Amino acid sequence: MSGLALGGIGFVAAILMIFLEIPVAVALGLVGLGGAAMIIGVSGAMTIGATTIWDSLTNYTLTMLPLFVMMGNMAAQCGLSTKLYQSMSVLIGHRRGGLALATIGASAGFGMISGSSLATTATMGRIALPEMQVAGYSRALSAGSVAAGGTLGILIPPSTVLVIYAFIAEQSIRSLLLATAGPIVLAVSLYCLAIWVPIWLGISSAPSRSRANGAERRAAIRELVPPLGIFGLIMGGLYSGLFTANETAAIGAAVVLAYGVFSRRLSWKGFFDASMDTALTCGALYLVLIGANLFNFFLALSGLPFSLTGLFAGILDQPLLVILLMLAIYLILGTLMDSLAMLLLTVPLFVPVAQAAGIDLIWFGIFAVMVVEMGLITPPVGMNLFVLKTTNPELQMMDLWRGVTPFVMADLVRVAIIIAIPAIVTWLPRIAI
Amino acid sequence: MMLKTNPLISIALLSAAAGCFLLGIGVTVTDVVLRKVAGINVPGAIELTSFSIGFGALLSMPVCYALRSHVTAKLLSELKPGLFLKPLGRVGAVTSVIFAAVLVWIMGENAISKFGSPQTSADLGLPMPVLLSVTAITLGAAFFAACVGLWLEWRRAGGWE
Amino acid sequence: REMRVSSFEPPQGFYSSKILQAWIDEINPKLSEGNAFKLYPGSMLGAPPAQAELVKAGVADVALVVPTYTPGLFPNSGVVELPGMVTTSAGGTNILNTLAEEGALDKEYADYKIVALFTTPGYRFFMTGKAVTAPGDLSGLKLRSPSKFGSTLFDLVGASGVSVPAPQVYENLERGVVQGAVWVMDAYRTFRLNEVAPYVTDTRFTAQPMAILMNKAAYESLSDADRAVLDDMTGRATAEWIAGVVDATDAEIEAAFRADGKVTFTDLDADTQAKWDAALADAPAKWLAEQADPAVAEAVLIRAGELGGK
Ligand code: NA
Ligand code: NA
Repeated sequence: MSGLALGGIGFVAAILMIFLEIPVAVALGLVGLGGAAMIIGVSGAMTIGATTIWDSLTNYTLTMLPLFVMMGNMAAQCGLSTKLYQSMSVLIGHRRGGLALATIGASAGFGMISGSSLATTATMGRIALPEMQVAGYSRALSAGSVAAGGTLGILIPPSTVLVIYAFIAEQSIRSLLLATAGPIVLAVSLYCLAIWVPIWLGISSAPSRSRANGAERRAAIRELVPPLGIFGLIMGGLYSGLFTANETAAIGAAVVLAYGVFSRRLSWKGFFDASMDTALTCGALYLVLIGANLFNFFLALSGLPFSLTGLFAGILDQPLLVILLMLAIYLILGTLMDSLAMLLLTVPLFVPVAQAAGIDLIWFGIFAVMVVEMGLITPPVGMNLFVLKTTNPELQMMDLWRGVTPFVMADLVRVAIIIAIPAIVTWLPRIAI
Repeated sequence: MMLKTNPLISIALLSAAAGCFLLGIGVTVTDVVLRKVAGINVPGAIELTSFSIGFGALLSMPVCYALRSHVTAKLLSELKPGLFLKPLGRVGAVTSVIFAAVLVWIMGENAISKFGSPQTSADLGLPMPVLLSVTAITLGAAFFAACVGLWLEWRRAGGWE
Repeated sequence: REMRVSSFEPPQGFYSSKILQAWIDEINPKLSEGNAFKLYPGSMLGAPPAQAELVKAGVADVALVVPTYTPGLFPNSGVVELPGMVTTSAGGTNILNTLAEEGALDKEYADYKIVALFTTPGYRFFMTGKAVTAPGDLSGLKLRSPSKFGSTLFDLVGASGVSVPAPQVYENLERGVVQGAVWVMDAYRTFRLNEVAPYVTDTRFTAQPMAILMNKAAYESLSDADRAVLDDMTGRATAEWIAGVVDATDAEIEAAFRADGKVTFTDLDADTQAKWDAALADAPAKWLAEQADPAVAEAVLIRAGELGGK
């Protein structure tokens, strides 16, 4: 059998196994190893397996994941996130969908300290989801806003994915970071619409509450000081160039711990529970990363990514067509693949095509990051959905899928807008030079 | 619900894992503070952080298998639990055992093939055969835990706990 | 059969596009029908430190390997890291190939068929805050280290080495985690380090060995005719061709940055160079102390010194 056919069969087999509720790590890992063994033999597959396990466990960038999960858990145990949400509820909860809006805002805020969508989702899942449930928001709306808000984690700097794109495509990191400004504003605005429209149509339930009195509002504003102070310290350090993104993760966790200890809000039991939760979540997440990497090696060996690019020959004089075709490929791949893995596989193949078609590579980087982040919330394999499901086992997949639908539509509108008006991406890097 | 299988071993593993994460935080924060205050750095800080946090994740894997807290896309068993919950639960547990066995086989073979190799880690100079053996042994524990997870899944057959 | 050539660099990267792909394009038409090499760039088959293992196991048939990424596996190749040993890739490549021809590298490459052994050009300093002239300028600074022995070299001049993966060097320079890096001009351009480290000191502090290795069984399984084609495109002549491309690119990028005028170049005079030589005089002893087999290492060191003109 040709590698290509094997790649296609493996792709379908993995989807089927995941639908049969075989753990994602197990499905991707077994298909990846089995397929690799059929292409390069058992001993070769074993070598790939061993190097993959080792690389996944010792990857420096991935160390941000446990640290941000721990930070979120500790913050939740301190009641810090709860207080933040209560305050938000007092301040804007009387508006329709106020807490869901606050979730998007808080995810964007957390995205400013996290380079990872998964960590953003894991943290906000613990903080925002229970609050919205208590406030009577529908499961779909609350889960959808957390999962979608989490995707802002890789668009908003610091973004590990953008750094990797800059490396592969040999583009300026500074220009790429500046280029996110317009799309971030666009993303947050469209997500607000994705919350409001279903509420107006009566699809989502988001009970409003009565407006709080002046004293309550002042107390709520006081409660915003500690979390904003911590965020300010971390972000100030990051943007003033004091820390790297990885260091921010460690410092963020340390600051939240210190806050918990000194404010006496973190009990021993809270510390213990947060530690247990963090470890259990990270064990599962690292297994998924290993499985996803094994699967990606198999796909690379099969030659499937190579033949996808063969599609582009002959339409290079029509950039719009090239973009739409790439968008279609990303949407298909995004149903099943991890965002980073997808980017690593496609960017090396797509960038030369984009360049040949005369597409601006800074714009293309933002486009690629946007469309791979959509993959995080599209069924059946959407990592953000899985993270949310892991941290909140009572959530049902159907609720999650229903909940993210308006946000996926908002994402599609956002992509359409930047295709129609590329200047939204390119204006800031241009005037900054 | 958590830690029901063997609370002591699970708690010990997860505590050790959390300890590794805290060590990673400590190393990185110390490195940053020393850099700002004294202009010096912790030798091999990046590799030390990577190793301790990766080892933490590794240590939590056995508990993840035993409690079957894997990332799973549950759709069918939520739509029709009566029909799908038991068979799909068993399929998931069996394939998890297979996956765990394959991982320990792969890593065990690799560690054995590196016995006596002079290779060290890139920064701290730790011997690779030892590092790989520790990884293989922990994955061995994960395989054992996956078997426990399978046994628990089968025992659940009669009905609900 | 399609034979996989693994590169940890992206396809547009220097070694992927200018060396490996060029080699593939030249050799493929000469091979018998059905046999062809194909490039798997961008770490598709594994991370940079895994390349040696991947080619040994046959996952890749050929791979670009940086011997210093796996300390202990290719000990004697590391001799080119010593200061003063390598100025140009041509010089370093001569050292490694002569050592290989004389059998000094037989043990460490016993598991492989060598396609080419070569070196980078000598590494220059790329600094963020101010130019480095004398060794004393480095005192107390933290620098991105290319390897384990690179950190030992920094210790000798009072600086400390920080290990930073290549794609993260830009961020670490920008954040002040490291105040500089030693590297080649190609990396300076590829990673746009000129944006954050505009001070270049035109010295040759150290260098890195590089190897393109082939799986032994894959080589032996070829027909006599194909093996002859391969023999024709491996070894010293191929390494010298690579060194020529490497040196030309290095010089061309340096000239472009000098002409551009936005980067400050510091050239060392003979007096200053003497200060560097004095500060680094203990480097050979330190290198020997890190080797598992000091007697063999010492012979390699002496021979490499003769070849490197030391
Ligand atoms: Na971010
Ligand atoms: Na998806």
